[in-house]
Amino acid sequence: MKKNILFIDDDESFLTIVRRACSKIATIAEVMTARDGQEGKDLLVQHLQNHSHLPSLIFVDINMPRMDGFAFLRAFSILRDQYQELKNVRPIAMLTSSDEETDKEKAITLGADEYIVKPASLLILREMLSDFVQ
Amino acid sequence: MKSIFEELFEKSPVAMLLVNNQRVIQLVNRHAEQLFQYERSELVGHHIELLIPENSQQRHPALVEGYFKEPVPRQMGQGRTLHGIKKDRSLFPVEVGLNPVEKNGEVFVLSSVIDITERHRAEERFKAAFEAAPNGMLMIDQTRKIVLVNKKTEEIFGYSRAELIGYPIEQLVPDDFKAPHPTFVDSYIKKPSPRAMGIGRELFGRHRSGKLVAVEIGLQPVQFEGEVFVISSIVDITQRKTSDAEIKRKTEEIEEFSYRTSHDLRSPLKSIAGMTECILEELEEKNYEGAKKDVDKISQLTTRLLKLIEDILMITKVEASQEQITAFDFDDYAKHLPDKFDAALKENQVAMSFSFMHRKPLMTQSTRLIQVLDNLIINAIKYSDKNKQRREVKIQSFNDMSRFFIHVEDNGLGLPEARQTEVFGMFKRFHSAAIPGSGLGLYLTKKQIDKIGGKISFESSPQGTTFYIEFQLPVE
Repeated sequence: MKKNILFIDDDESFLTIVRRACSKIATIAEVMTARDGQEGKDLLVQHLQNHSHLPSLIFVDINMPRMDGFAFLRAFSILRDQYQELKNVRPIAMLTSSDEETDKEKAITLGADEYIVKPASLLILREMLSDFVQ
Repeated sequence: MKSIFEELFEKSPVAMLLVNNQRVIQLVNRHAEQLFQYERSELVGHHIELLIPENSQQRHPALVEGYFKEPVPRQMGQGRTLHGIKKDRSLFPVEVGLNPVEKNGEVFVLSSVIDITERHRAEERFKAAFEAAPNGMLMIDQTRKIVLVNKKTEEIFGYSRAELIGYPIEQLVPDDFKAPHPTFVDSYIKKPSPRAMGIGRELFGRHRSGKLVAVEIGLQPVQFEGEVFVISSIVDITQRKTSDAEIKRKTEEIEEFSYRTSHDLRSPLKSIAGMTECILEELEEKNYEGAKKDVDKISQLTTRLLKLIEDILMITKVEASQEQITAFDFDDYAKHLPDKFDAALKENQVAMSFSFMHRKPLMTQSTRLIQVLDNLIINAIKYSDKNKQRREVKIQSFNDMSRFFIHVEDNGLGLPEARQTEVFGMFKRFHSAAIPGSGLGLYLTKKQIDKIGGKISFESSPQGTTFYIEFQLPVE
């Protein structure tokens, strides 16, 4: 079955790259995007209320204005306690570089399933995402 | 032939005088002659007041009378510095011992007089050094009473020396520590050695106002005539602690800065790298439209990256600029604004207005103030509220006798209340990512304002934001 994925990132160009990477992965149905934690959260709530198809993976950036990645992870774990439908949704933290050690730990503590370091290459990103949606 | 006792009296290395109850000198020895520079005949038969300075002469007879009522061996003038007076009218400090002597039923006083000029000089020297010490100096006796303080001690604790001398040292100890302090002093006096007080602990003294003063204290025991005294040398380290805190704050700021710059520089560069691969794919697919769009995006990213780098470089420049102080030309500044922000004003449809009502010139580093105002104005334009009919930014200036004010007021989106304390922080962004910004603008603004000696504050609500800038005007 094809999967929906949600990307939350304030970097519009990264989202463009993501869309292109996903467009060639057969197992991805829809790519949803949000520009910050608040938008991401609102989008999830909207899907829950409409009973529309939820993403099975949420990739969330850490550094964002308004509601950052950590705040989103906190908000998400509260939502997951309220909605059974979110039980199998996996939040994944996205880091800009691998030396952000404290961010890794903090993201995992706040409920991220795992973290990835954003690759600079489109091809590597595509491979990475294919692995996630197999 | 003289008796052995007469010999002893005559040759004693101490000046001796025998006086009767009428205060008349009966006998003097050789040393007394030398000390007071009188011939024996000039002393014997004269009143003892001859050898006493004028300011003490009057009360002396009563003191002598008192002594004869209860004649016991003792020192004269306990606790006071006594002086003798020589034939040439010069004064010198003395120590006088009194001993009653009885002969044929009549009581005499045998006074032994020691010239303590040397000792006195040493004491004076000690006191002068004590007084001039760059640290607070304070001496207590073994009953914990303060016996000596210097000027610096008065300054550190806010007490005059009259309010300290004779009082227990605990007057200067913080309340929490008053109770156990005597035990510490007692154990120190039993085992006195030079050392620092409270190693590994933060020490505080209690200022007269009740406020605590951060101090460092060194202890030094001294022995004086069989009694132990403790000299404390006290350094007020408030200043040092403030600078320590300042260094810590700066270090944290630098850490945050390097973390954020590495992130904010790397992130768009990664996107540019990814975008170029997108374009390559699009070209293979002959999707020229898509490729063109992505090239545009790369161009935007590089512009943004350049702006960020400029802002980062500006941070280092803020510290360095040595610009001359001149009168700020508000009209000239306002004249150039519409052109400067033309694109942003049109895009956001914001109206700009000015009202300069100041009567005195503002003397300042103009480039810095221009950066401050530019930044506040561009923020007001960028974060205008699309839902409001009329979008505006007003710039006002006015002054009173001592202060100069500039207000930059908008009716834009406002800053979120929960995060208003972070407004002047580094890399803080408060609005949607759709509006580009480095997160350094207000941080730089605050730095610039600090540099030109102004103050900046703000009020913000969903109705809009006003930044208040204030400068002190020079006193006329």
